[in-house]
Amino acid sequence: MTFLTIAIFILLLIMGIPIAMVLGIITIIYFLLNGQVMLLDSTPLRMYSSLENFGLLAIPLFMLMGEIMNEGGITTRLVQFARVLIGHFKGGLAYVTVVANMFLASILGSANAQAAMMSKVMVPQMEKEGYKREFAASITLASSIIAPIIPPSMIFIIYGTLSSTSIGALFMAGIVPGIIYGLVFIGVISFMGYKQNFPKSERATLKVILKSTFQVLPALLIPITVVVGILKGIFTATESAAVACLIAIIVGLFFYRELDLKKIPKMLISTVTNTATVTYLIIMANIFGWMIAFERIPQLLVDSMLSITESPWVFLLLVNIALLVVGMLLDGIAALIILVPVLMPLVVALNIDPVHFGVIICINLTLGLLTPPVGTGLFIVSSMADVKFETLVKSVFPFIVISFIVLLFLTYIPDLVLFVPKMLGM
Amino acid sequence: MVQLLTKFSNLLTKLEEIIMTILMGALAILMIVAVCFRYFLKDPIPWAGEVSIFLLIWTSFIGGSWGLKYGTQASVTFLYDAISDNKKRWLRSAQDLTMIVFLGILIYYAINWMMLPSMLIQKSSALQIPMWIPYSAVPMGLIFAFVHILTRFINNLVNGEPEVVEKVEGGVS
Amino acid sequence: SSDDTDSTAEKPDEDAGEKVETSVAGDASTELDLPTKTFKLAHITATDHMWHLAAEKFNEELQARSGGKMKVEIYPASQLGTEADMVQQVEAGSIDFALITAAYLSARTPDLAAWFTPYAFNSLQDAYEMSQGELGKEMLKQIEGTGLKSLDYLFAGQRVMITKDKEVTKPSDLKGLKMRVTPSPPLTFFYQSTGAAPEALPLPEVYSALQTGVIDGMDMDLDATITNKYSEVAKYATVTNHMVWPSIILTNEKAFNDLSADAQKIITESLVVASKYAVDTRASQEEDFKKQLADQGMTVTELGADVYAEEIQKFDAEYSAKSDLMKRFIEAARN
Ligand code: NA
Ligand code: NA
Repeated sequence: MTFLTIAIFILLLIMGIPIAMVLGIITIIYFLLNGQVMLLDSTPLRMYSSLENFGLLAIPLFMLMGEIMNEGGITTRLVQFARVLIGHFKGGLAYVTVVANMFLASILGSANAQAAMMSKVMVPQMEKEGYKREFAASITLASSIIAPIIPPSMIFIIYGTLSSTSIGALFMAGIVPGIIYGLVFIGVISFMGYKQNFPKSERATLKVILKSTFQVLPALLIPITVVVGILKGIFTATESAAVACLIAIIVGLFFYRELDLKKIPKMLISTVTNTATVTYLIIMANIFGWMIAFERIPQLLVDSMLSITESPWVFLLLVNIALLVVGMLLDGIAALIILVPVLMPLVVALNIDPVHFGVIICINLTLGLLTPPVGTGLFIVSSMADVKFETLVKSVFPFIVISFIVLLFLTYIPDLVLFVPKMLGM
Repeated sequence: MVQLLTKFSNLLTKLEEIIMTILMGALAILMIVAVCFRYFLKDPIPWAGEVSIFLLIWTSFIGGSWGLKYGTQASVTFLYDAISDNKKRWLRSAQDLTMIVFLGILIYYAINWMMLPSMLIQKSSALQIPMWIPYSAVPMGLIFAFVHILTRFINNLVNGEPEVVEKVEGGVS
Repeated sequence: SSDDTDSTAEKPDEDAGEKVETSVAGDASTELDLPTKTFKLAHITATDHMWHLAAEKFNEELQARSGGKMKVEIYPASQLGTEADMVQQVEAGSIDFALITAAYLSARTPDLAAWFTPYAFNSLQDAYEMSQGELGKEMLKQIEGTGLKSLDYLFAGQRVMITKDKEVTKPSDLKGLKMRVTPSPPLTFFYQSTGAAPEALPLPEVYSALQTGVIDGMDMDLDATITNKYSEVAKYATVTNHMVWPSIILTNEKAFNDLSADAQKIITESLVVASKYAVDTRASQEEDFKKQLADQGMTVTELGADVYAEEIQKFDAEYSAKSDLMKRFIEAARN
C-alpha cells in the first residue's frame, strides 16, 4: 500500500500538478486506500486550522511591504547607494549586486521576490558594462539567498510557527550568517576578478555619495524600526511586518513620492495571491503531515534514527545531506512544512538548539532554489534575465558549492548563529 | 454553455479580487491599529489576533482559488516542457481532471462538515462570533477553485486552449 | 443503545488459549467480555506534562485490567491537530479519546466557564471532589449531544501570575499591566476587572515578548513557568492559585456505547485512577515547584482570595446570571 502511494505521488508530481495539490491528493488517496474514510470528515477543518497561527500573519504583511517598497522606487535607490560606495573597485558592479542584495534583504523576506526584482535591475546594467550575462545572472541569483537569511524572513517565520520557536530569536540569529554569506560571495567575486579582469566604474564624488546616502536613509528606516521595535518591546516580530508596511507607505508617499495610491488595490491583490501560493502549500502540507502523524511515522523515524546515532553532529550532517537532495526536487517551503514536524522530536531528543537547527535547515532549503532540476530561483532568473536554464545552472554551480561549505561552518560552529540572540538574552 | 461557464468563472474572479482587496486592506490596518492600542493607549484589543487570523484564512482560500486559475502554484514542469503541443493539451486535461475530482471530494466533505449540528454551537474564543463565518472560507474557496478549473478543463477540450495563459512570478521561498 | 452492546462485542473465548499477561487484577480479565483493541488518545501538551503522564497511567491501568487486550496509543503535542480538530476527529470516530481544555470547550459549552470562577477552590483536591460530584457530572453532560461523550476530568496546576518587573501584592498592582491571558471570556473578564490589560499572544512568542516588554506578565501555571524558563525573564511569581485548569476526556458516544459493558467499566475505572493520579501527583509537587523557581532567582509570594474580594464579587454576579447551572456551581464552590 505504501509503495503504491509513493508511486502515485511521483506520477502526480511528474504530471505537473501543482505541488500543493499533489500533497492534498495523495493524502486523500491514502485515506481511501487504507479504509480511513472517516478521516475525510475531519479534513476540511484540518485544512482550516492549519492556518490558525498568529505567526503566519507576517507573510502577507511582509509581502505587502515588499510590493509597496518596489512600487515606491526603493530598488533603484539601494542599487545606486551600493554603487557610489563600492562601484569604483575592479569588478565593482558585481560587488554592488551583492551589497545591494544585502541591503534589500534587510527589507524583503523572500529570495524569489528578491531575485525577480534584482535581475530586472542588475543584469542589464552589468551586461552594459561588459560582464557576461550568465555571470551577472548567477551573481544575482546567488546573492538572492541572503534575502531570507537576514531578517525579515518568510521561511524563518514558517519554521518558527511549525516548531514553536521564537520568530524574534530566529530573526536575530540570521543576521551574522547573512553577513557571512555576503562577504563570502564578495570574496569569490574578487578571486574571480583576478582571473577574469572585471571592469570597474568611475569613483563617485563626495557630493554624489552624500546625495545617494540621503536618498537611501528613509528606506533603511524599515529594517532599523523593525529591529529596534522588536528589541524595545514595542511589537512582536509578527507585528513588525504591519509597522513596516506603514513606514513603506510613508516613505513611498512623502520621501520618494513615487507611490501611486491608485495602485494600492492592485498591490493588495498581488499580495494576497502571492501569499496564497505559500498558504495553500501550508494547508495541503498540513493534511499530508497529519496523515504521516496518524501513521506514527515521526515516532518510527525517531526510533530508527536514534538507533543509528545519538550524536547531534552526525545527525546534523545527515540532515544537511538529506535536505540538499530534497531541495533539488521540492520547493523550500513545501519541504520545510513536511519535514519540520517529523524532525523536531529528534532535535529535542538530541538536545539541539531549535534556533540553530532552524537557521541551518532554512538556509539549506533556500539553497534548493538554486539547485536543478527543480529550483524556483533558477526558473525566475533564467526567464527574467533571459539566460538559458542549463547555462545558468553551470555558472551558478561554484556559488552553490561555496554556499554549502559555509553552511557546514554554520552547522559546526553554532556560535556563529547563536551569538547574537544569546547576547540579546533571547 | 462553455461561454456561460467562462463568463461565470470570470465573474467569480472579479468577486475574488474585490474580496482580496478589502480583506487584505483590513488586515494591514487592523494590525497597525492593534499595535498602537497596546503600546500608546495601553489598552490592547483582545480580539485583534483572532480577527486577523480569520482574515488571513479567508484571503488564503480565495487567493488560492485565484492562483489555481492563473497557475501561480509551483509545480514540476520538466515533462510538460519536453512534450509536443498536442500532447501538452492532453496532459493539461489530465492535470485538470485530477484536480476536479480532488476538489469535488473535498467540497463534498466540506459541505457535510458545515451541515454538522455542532457547527451552530461553536463560537470563536475572543469575540464569540459563530465559527461558521470563518469556517465557510473552506467550502467557498474550494467551490470557486472548482468552477475555475472545470471551466479551464472544458475550454481545453473544446478549443484546445487553456482559458487564460498568463505568466505570473510565482514562489515566495 | 447500550442494550445492543453484546451483539457487537467480540467473543471472549477466542482468546482462551492465548497466554495473557499477568495483571494486578489477577486473571479475572480472561473471563470478561473484552475486545482486543488499541485506542488512539490525542492531547495538546508536551510529553513531560502532567496530562501526558496521566495518559500513560491510563494506558497502564487499561492494559493491567484487560489483561493486555486493550491499550492506548498516545499522540501528544497537537500531532493530530488543534483542539477544534481533535474534537471533530472524536465526533467523526477517528480518535478514540481526546483531552480537551475546558477553556476551549467553553466556547461551545458556555456553562463550563464556571470552572474558571476565581478562588472557587482552596486546593486541587477540592476541585477534584467537585468534579466527581453531582455538579461536576452535570457539567460533563452539557458537552454531550453532538456525538461526544465526556468521561472525566483531568486537572493541571492552578493558575498563578508571573510578572516581569512589578510585584503583585494587591489587585491594583495589576492596573495597566499588559498580561498574557489565554483568550477565553471568563479569564479575560477576571483580569479586566482588576484593571489589567489582557493580551492574547501566541505561547511561543511569550518568552521574548516578556523579555522585551511587549507584555508585563502572564497568567500561567508553575509547571509551564519552569519548563519554559520564564524565570530568566521575569522577576516575580505570585502564587495566587486563583483558578483551576481542567481538561475533559472526550470520546465518541456511539463507539463507546458499542463497547461491551465490561470494556466500558474498565475504561471508566482506569480513567478514575489516572485522574486521581494527576491530582495527587500535581498537588505533591506544589512546594517543590515554588522552591525551584525561588532557586532560579524569582521572588515567589503567595496571595490569597481575601484581597480580591471585590473582583470575586463582580465575577460571581456576572456569571451567576448567565445560567442556572453556573449559578448553582458557583454557589456550591463558594460554600
Ligand atoms: Na530578509
Ligand atoms: Na532545487
